[in-house]
Amino acid sequence: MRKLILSRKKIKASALFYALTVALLMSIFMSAVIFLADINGFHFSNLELREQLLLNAHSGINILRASNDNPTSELDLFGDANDYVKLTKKQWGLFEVGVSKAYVGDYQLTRSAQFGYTPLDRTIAIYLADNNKPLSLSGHTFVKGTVYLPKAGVSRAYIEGQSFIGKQLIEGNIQQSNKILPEINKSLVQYNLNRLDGIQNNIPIEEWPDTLTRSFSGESAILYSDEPIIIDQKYKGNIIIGSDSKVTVSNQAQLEDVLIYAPEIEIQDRFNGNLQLFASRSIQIGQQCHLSYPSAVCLLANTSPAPFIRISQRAIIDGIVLVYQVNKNKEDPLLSIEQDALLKGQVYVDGALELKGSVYGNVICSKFLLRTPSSIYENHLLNATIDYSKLSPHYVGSGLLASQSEKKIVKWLD
Amino acid sequence: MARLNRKIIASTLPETLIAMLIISIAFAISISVYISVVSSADYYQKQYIHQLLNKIAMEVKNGNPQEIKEFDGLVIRSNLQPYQNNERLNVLHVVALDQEDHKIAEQKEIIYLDQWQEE
Repeated sequence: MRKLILSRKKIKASALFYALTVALLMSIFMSAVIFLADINGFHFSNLELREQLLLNAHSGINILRASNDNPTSELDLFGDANDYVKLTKKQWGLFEVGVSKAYVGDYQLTRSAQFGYTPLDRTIAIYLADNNKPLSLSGHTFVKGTVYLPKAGVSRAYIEGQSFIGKQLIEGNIQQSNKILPEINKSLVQYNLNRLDGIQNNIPIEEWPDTLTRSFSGESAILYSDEPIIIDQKYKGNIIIGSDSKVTVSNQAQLEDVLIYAPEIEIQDRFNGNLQLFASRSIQIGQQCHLSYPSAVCLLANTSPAPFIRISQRAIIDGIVLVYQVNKNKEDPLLSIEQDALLKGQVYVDGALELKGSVYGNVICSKFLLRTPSSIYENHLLNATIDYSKLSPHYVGSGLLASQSEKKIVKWLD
Repeated sequence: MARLNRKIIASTLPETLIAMLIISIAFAISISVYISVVSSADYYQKQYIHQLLNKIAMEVKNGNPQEIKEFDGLVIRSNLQPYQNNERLNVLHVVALDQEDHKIAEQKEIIYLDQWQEE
């Protein structure tokens, strides 16, 4: 009777099914744990290797920083036949670029850095060559820092209805300057003059891409034309642009670390970028342009009429402005810094400097020039500011002067 | 006493026992696999040691050299040696040792001695 009842009432039993499902899920979960552990281990060993390569590459950069000689091609860093670096160094405009390629086994990693030099004396505001004329200040002129002036010294002046307004003429020490400017690093200038004289094109103009990024570990990309060119592309890195006549940089262009060599260079208003410019006739920086650190604006003057650089109103340049006379017998070149323009860094003018804006850093020049509607004044400053203390204490310039202090890393490139 | 009208899902005793046995075995295997994975992969410890070496190297580079430091039973030694007679360059060698003085990990780097580090 009981057997009969059980056969009629079927009881669903599924514990075994559930147990197998749970066991399956657990095995999947554990497989995932093992897989993740394996991935993690692989990732960690990769990370460890990458870190070792990075340390070795940085070690190579430090070796380049400490040495002025050309580096040996391949170097066993610690003499254990395990850590190798390949070091190269080259001039990049006013700066040096060092490339360190680290190898461990089949793996490699490259780092490159831009080198510069700290100014020998950061506190110098003005070095004015002694041309037997005093420095005359008028209006709201403000000078802070050590100044090297002609024997005639400094005086107040009354120009355009404005007399000097301020407590003291110079906020800092006054020392006597020499007739000649501090010696410039001639090899640096010569290198850039050679570039200016002749560039070998390696990308035909019709193949110039709209966007190009080139690593410093390889050959430079050289974009050269004998015609005037307008740049509105996006270029970054190891790229040199050159022309036999004029280069115009549009404010649409996005340029970083790029060098430009041409007789005439024009940067259009409101351009933003990081550039080094080298011209023989003229450089014009438009209004509200910002050339970010470390930029360089260099006039290597060897033509007549007088070559010039004009930095327009509200333009900002972070870096170096250089005016150098290749041929001293020709007319003095001119650097004109307009009202509200700001230069943060070093200014070296082997010629005349017309300063109506501000310089945060130091100015080395043969003479100041002030042009007003009524007259032209020599060694006069009107409503200008030169203040060394507003320049960042971490500022690193280029090896522009023959006597430099310590070599430092300006920026990491790639 | 209320009577149930619905069918009750249930299992037989042998079925339940077998299921419990399977789950226990699966659980035991899982735990042993998990423990062996975690313990055999020593990268957790390696990562920790790696971080310690980086930390000590950074302290030395910041001008705070400490030759010996102890962390959780590990001894970290660091030393600076001149590199190829260059007064500006030093080899920074940081080693992690266990309690039996066995080397577990090391890190070597050539550092540039800045002026502020000399002062």
